[in-house]
Amino acid sequence: MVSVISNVDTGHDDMIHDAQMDYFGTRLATCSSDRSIKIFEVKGSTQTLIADLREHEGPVWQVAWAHPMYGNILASCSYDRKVIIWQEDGHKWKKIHEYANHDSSVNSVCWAPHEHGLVLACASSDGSVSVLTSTAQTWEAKKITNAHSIGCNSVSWAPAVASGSADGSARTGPPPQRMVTGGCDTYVKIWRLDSTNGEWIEESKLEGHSDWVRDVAWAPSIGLPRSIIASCSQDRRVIIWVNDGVSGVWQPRELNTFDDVIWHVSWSVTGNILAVSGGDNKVSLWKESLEGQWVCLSDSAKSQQQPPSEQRMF
Amino acid sequence: MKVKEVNTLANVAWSPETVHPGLLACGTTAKQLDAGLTTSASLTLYDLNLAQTNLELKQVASVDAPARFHALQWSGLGGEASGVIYGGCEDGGLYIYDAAKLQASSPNSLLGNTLGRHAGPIYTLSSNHLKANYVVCGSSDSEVTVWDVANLTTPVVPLKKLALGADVSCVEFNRQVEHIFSSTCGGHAVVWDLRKQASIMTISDTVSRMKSSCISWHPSVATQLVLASEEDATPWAQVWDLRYATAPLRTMEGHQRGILKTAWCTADPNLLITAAKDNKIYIWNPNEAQRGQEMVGEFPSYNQWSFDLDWCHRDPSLVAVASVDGCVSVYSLMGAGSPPTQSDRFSQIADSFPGMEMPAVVPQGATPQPIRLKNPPKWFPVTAGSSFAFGGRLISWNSQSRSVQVAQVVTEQGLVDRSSKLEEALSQPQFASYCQEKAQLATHPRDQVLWQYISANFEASPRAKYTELLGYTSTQVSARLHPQAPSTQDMEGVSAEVLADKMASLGTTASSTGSLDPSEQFEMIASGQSFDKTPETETAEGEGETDSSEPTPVTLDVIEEESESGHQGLITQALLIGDLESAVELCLSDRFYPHALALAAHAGADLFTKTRDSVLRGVGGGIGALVGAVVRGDLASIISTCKLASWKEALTAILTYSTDAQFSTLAESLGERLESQGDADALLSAMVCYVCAGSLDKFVSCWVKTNPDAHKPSDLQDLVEIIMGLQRSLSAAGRPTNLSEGSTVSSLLCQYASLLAAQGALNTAVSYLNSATKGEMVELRNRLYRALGYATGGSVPAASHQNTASSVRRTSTPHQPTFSQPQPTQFTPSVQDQQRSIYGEPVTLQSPSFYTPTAPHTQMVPQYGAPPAPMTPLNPLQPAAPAPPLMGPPPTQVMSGGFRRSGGSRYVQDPSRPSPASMLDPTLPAQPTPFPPLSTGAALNPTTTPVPAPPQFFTPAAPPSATPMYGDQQLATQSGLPSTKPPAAMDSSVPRGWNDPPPLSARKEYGGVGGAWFYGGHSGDKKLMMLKQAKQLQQQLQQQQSTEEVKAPEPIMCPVPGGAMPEPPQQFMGFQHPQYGTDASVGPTPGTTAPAAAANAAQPEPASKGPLPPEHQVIQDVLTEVKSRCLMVVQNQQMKQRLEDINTKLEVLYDKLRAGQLGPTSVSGVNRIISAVQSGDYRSALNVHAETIAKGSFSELSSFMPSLKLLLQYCMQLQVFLQ
Repeated sequence: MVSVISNVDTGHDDMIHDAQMDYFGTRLATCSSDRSIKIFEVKGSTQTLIADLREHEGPVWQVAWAHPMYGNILASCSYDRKVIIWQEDGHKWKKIHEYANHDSSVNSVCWAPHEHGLVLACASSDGSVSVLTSTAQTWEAKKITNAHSIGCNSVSWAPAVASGSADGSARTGPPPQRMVTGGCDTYVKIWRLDSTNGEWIEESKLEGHSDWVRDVAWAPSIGLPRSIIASCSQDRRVIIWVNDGVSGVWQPRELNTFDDVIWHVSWSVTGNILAVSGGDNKVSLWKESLEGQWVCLSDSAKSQQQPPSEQRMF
Repeated sequence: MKVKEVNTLANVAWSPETVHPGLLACGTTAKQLDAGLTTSASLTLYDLNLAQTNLELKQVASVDAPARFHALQWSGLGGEASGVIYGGCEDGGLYIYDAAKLQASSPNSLLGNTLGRHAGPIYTLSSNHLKANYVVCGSSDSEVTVWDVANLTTPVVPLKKLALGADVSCVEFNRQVEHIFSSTCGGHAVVWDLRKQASIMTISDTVSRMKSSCISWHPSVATQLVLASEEDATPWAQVWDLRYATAPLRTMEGHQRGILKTAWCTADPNLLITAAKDNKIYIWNPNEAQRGQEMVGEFPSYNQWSFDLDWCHRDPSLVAVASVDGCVSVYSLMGAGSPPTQSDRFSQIADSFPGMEMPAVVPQGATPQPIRLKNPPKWFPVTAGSSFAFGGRLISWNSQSRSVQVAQVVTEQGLVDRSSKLEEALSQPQFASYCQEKAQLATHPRDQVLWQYISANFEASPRAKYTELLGYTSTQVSARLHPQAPSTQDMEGVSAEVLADKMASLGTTASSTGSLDPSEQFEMIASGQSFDKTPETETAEGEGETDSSEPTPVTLDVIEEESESGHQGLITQALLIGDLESAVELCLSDRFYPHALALAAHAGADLFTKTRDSVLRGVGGGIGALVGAVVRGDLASIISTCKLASWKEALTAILTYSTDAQFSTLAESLGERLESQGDADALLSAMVCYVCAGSLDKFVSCWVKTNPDAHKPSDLQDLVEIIMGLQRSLSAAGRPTNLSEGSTVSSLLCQYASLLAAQGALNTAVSYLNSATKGEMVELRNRLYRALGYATGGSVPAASHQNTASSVRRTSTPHQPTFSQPQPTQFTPSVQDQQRSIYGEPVTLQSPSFYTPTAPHTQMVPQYGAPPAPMTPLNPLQPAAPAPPLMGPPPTQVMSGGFRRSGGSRYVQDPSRPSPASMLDPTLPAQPTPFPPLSTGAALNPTTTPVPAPPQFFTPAAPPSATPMYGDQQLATQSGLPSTKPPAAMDSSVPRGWNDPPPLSARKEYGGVGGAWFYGGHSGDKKLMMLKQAKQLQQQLQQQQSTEEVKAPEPIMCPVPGGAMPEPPQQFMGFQHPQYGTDASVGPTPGTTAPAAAANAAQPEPASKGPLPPEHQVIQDVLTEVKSRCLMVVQNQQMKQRLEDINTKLEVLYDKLRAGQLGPTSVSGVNRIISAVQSGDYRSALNVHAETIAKGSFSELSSFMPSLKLLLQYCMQLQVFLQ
């Protein structure tokens, strides 16, 4: 069910913090505590290093690929409080923008759905979330200060086609822009862009975790009116928040309590499988059954008997 | 920059890790007096109140304390969630509070105290980290006492008192070893061992003589601790290791004045906080080996001493700090927070001292900076994770490796298996076996039925098979009928028995043999009488079945006699005077139907028709209606009126009587009726009708009705299998289908493709999206192309050749004229394809007027002169016309449309590419390019290259053989051929309208052959059919015209096919009646191309192609040459086919060369390939090819490079070399 295709030896000198494939699944960007970002061309089981980007002055936490309609663009965020946007120009990658207006580590970057334009959300330990919008000449920044009082760990955009409006009313025109953030204050918060004044408004504050929320992931739309968000926490739990799109209420459902802290949740491109990973270096895959129950597809997270090497590979 | 603050002068202690949300206990401190000198004390619990982003802490509970606190600690005692709070008070008592009760404001929260058992105030205390019920207290007179909370009457162990006589300033239990603690007293640090009940070591720095007043044990290394001094002379913190206790490991210097408090972070041993009298709070890395680098951060300074510190247990990024100005603040090490609000503290003093300049809360000229640690704390980074990527890929990484793992996640293995099986089956020429297997293995009866019908299309005669599946094999029915033929009564009886229950509205005569006659007598009379006057109506309108039964003229007399001997004198009289009409009327009124019919037949067509209708009305009942429908050719009425329960019979009837064109419509409307009924059985029946009709879209929407949630992958797979099967089978039966964009089908296929893509089956997925032209389908397809590595740059829609492709063709979409799409599964032919395939002929674009005898087209000769053998059998789905303006198909090339191969698949001449024959024929006059300028009027000028070929293009040398679909009688074509090109048209220089009647001589020819046309269908049928076809032709022309964006002259749009005229549309009919194979004989006549040709003649000719620039001529020469050589060598038909396709693609290259559209990189790449080909080094040619693709512009190269590569591969494979 899960078969390893290749192991990309990144050559990083320190811990790897993120690895993201581009839109087509042909390029891999990794970032590390060694302050570098590497980009690999991955074909089958072979990979070629095509860029080694060293501009950050601290560990690089996350990288994110923009939609290819804007070109080959990568965003990175670092403990050095900076967000850097890189672009491939010819065969060379160069920094096209640096955003240094956070007071603390920037922990998460996430590109908005391409329908909204070239827009990047950045979540920082200083508790704020910045939204950078590319305009003709430059990048405009809008900041939600104190989004989470003791730091924000993760941000994820709602799909552009999602419904799940809080008011439940029928809408005309484009759906409002939304994002979800997870913070050290244990909350998951939904933000909506007020189209009248361009301000981000806290739409919902979801209470369920009891420790840092490490990652949030808004599920890709699968054509249904409901919206789904997954959140994971230091409290070793993953919660699936479902908004049926009518009531506007986010119903929590605890996916599982794991053996270790959970750091990452990632939806598959089609939005039906959730990969959960955390401090024990294991990855488990989860899928909602037709009965609405979340079931573990690969049970390496539960089974303790597997030899360590297997665990590493799932 | 604080996270929270509260105005209280208090010692602080965080709740244990187990408590959520985290609470902060504040006990009024004894270290300072507040402004009111109040000695009252309280213990207050605060909630962090993180939900609010302001600075407020929320008070949870508060109790009055017996005395003010010197020390406060919250311990997670015995695993109890809330734990206990220890308070060391100035009154010399250790007070123990139950945190849970305190939190609930329960009155008896105080669990106990040790009041009166200490030498003085309890200045310091520490609970055991491993045995939470043990707590050590330090009092005055160097007294250290260890208590067990469970028994507060006597200390746990009596400890020998140090003879220092000083207050104990600090005690702390070791974090690793439960029986070790240390204390500072009078500047000495003493380490105690509870088991030995004595001190085991005294730590003193003999060099610096630092007097220790604070202790913090290393969180994880049992033998290490930090000592700090509050003496301003030695404001240091020293790291000691008890194993090497002669000197400190390192000394952290930075404070200017004495250190009041230290706190070592338990979650990260690299973090230690010291608060000193210089108003600074520094963060150190006590493990930093490099001297001078120990300090890693600093708290924002607010100009106040801080006397107490505590790391939050639950969230190690939070630190509570108590300062002497009466403020307890919470800071985040990660830098979050807001500026403080306590600015009014000094204003009170300022009020009392008007005019005095007061120190600022914050140092002048500096805004408070958030805490910025040099390096992230140990707990902060995320070192393992996973993320999904396109195509079901899972990327994962972790702290144990510097590698990133890429894995494929397959959650629907069954789907992937089935899909690859389907794909494999589709790539095989024999798809029928797959269908049969499906039918056999189907678990659902529905699937079984559907698959049976689908596989019927692979039969030689699909309609016969349909009939059989419906339960009416002609042999069976005939067998049932013929033995009983002599007895009309019996025959009708039997049939009625068989069918009566179902056929209330249909009757029994739906059998296909047609030998079932309503009345034997009638037949005898009619045939007897028709000896003298063969009524037109008999042959024209009578059913074919009349031929099959032999008349028995013997009975004629008998009948005459009977009627004479009857008592209807009037009839006789009328007959005698020759008033047949009256006689017929009388017969009818007497219900002497046979007589009436016999007489009417004798009287003439009009009367016969009238009489027939009256008779049928009179007979009434089921049979009458059916017979009426059959004889009138009014099949639509059967379909629209039959009872739905007898849909099988209705379908059989139309299978038997309708033409192909009618059939689809009729079957479809029957399906619609069934579908509207809505129940499960009816829906299945409707689906069968749609399968027979070949209406994919309708079928699918009906299917969706039966499976309202086709979200289950297996259901979707079922459907896709059926769709693909149906499509394949229809094309096998010569009825290719076109899936319209945006239909249910295409959206389902898109869904299916994305499902496959999510399972990593990218190649398969892309094959279902080839026809996509819009929205998400295109996006998904482009994404798949890129994922498969076909494209090289930008976000341009990608395209490439795929090896699985059975054919590569141009899309017919005008918007993407330069992209070739792989078409591995013959999915969705273009509109033109469909038309061509359906009608067998390409829409021939040649007007007869162009064929002036003196100016034959040069290309025509080789095309028609060549033996048909090298003609590649093209798949019926083989693509046809690309966008004409680009390729500029020379109209004169397309006259070869009539060729048919005996293999059953019709050769569809693609006007856009040169005939293979022309490429191979050695007699082909040397042409500068395969497309000489020939399509303009100038090309037809007698002065253009005359070719010694005879003017007749349809020489018998190239006999277009009729296809075997029409049975054995592949006749008449040879003789018919030359004449089907109307000589008048050829001679005339005037363009003909397509509906102009051909010259008389042609009519004669048709007459000769024409008998075969009357294959037993009714003239009614035929008329309907002709009208329909005329309409189709019209539509076809319209489409074509709209494609070419040329408005055609109006007359062309008005077909008026005459009944007796050998209308041109007939050419489209012939092959649509395969089931009549035995009697119907005539294949389409290739010469009857006038209509479309005329239409085309009225349009401007596409621009001709010029020669290649001389420097590029070599490219074409070389490629054409190797391709021809390949063609000569290759045996495999499929390969030949592909070579032809390659040629088409290479035309794009030539076009681009002509137009100079290729960049220098591309051109040089192509030239290098060519020179490699010339030297026979295909391997390096392929390398150059890859290189060129990698470097070149995608849009330039995409359209032909894949084909070029394929050609190179073929050359290599076939060992074809130029030398």
